[in-house]
Amino acid sequence: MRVSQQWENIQAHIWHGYGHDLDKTPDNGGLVEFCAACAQPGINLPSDWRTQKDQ
Amino acid sequence: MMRDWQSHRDNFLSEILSVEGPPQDKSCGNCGRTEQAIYRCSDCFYSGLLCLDCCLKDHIRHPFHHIKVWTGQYFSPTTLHRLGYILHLGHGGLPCPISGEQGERDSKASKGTLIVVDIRSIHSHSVSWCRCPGAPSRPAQLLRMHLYPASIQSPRTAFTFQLLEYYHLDSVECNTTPLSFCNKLRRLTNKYNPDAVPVSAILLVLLNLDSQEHRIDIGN
Repeated sequence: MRVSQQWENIQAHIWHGYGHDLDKTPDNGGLVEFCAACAQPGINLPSDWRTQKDQ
Repeated sequence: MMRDWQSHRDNFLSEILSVEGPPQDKSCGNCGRTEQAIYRCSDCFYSGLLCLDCCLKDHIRHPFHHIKVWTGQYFSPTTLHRLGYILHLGHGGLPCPISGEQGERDSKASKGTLIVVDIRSIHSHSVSWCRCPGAPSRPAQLLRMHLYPASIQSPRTAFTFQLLEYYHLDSVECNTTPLSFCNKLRRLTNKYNPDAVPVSAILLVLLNLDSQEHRIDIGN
């Protein structure tokens, strides 16, 4: 289990472009896959979502 | 434990990436030639480069290995079938002397394409059947090489015994359904386009085989 978690983490670094440049470190959320179903400002949220009171 | 690993992660990462590229030694590991030594087998323990002749020769007894070819920028997956490999039946991987004598004249009659479903993927192979006098039937030739034929008259699909045993344990222990198992094989065969693998017929055959094997096992 521990090894599979380590392997997944290493693969995530490679997939997100942190493999060859070891000086570059991922930001917060830098290893997370883009989720089209989650609320994404500018993509699937109205432009005034911050000011809408009832939501 | 994980904290210990964190300090080693960058080393692990660069080691893993370095084996993806071509090795320092660009010559064929068998004959030492440097020209056309661009093939690498992902399944052999030896991970160096091989030339085409040595690659085909090395895999006479390992027809289900996965070959990669260096394109100049990366190792691209290819197949033994594409490299001109012929799966010879009846003589332990070596060509049948009778088929060899008749050569080109009968090449169409004695050769064909065989789909072999193995534990790691679905393979397509040019197959050369044994044509010696008194040669066993085609299903028997397959069974002797530990391949279970999908049909009897003129088999064009076969399953390795290893796969059938694995599938049996997978269904008993992990409750894997035939559909899930076939989808897994599809993804193993073509990671980026699993839908391109023609597997629907294989699913039907596997379902049928499952009951056949079961009948053979219980002696019915």
